[in-house]
Amino acid sequence: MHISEGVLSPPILLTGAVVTIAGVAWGLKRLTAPRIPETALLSATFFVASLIHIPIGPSSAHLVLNGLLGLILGPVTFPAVLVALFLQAILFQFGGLTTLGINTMNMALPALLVYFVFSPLPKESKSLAGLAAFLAGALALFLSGILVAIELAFTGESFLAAAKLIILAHLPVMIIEGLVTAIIVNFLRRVRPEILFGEAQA
Amino acid sequence: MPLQTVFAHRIGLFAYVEEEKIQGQVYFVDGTPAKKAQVKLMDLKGKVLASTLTDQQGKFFFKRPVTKEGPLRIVALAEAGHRTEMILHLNPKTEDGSYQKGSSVFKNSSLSREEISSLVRKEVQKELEPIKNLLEEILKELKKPSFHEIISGFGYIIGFFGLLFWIKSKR
Repeated sequence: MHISEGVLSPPILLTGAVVTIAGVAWGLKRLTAPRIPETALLSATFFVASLIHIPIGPSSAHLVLNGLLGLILGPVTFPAVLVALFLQAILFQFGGLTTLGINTMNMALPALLVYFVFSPLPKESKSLAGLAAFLAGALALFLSGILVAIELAFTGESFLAAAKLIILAHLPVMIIEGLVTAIIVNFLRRVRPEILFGEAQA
Repeated sequence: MPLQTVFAHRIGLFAYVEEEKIQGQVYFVDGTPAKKAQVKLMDLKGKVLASTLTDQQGKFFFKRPVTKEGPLRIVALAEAGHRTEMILHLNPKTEDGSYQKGSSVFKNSSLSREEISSLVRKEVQKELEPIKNLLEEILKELKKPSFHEIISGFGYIIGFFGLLFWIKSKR
């Protein structure tokens, strides 16, 4: 879901850049030193996630894991995503540098939304927490797709056509993302529950 | 240890097919030739078909094995434990089962320019096919994010957040 250079118009790129700068500034302010190791770890996970390709019919999609980042990092998602996307652009030529702002926004904003809706996860029930994590993972990706479709609509493509294509192609990935998020959340629940259930959040 | 192996820590191997010969070169990655390096020609199952040593320029050649059609593996071993290998695709045989296109083909025939031209084109295509396949494979490999790049990414992430940690903890 990385938008390449030369696809979107400058006003959209600018909007993305502004939103990302705001998001990153806010995130960095909320970032405390003790939370940096887990931020770095999740940034690295996000960095690698895009390399995991899921072949779907004619095209292939890749894991994003922005939902997971949102659940665990909350406001710090923006800096974590920006760092990872920047390195992906420089090292693998995924996306681009002028599109860094818009791509970060597309992945971090839904993650933030998911954070406000689903976090902290319900402590009492393991299956409820798992379900919430699944929904969070799937929804974050879905919203990213919608954002991309909206942006593509501005370049002349019909929003409905672009949205249908993106959502359809990513439907299996959304399910896989939801599952992966749920599995990781379940694991963290046993190992470091404070990350998920709000006590660690500043 | 000779100076060249101190600085050139890997060997490279390149080989190609030309009519009845398989020829190639073994070299250290700084360019110096790997002399007297052992080169083995094998099939993909590991059976050694021929073995030879490189000359003073690191070059070697094998006679093209008559019975093998499929891709072959060439393994080169140079001094002090260097080893490398490559897969060589053989070009298909021409229609009459030989590789030699001697001038006798044209002497007794009354081929028109167009027929000669089409013959030449077909033969060139056959020769180019394994090279095209090799190029395709190389290009695909180049486009993939390499392990090296992934590790670099991790390093930069750790470095950046480490720096941030240092900054934040001073407050």
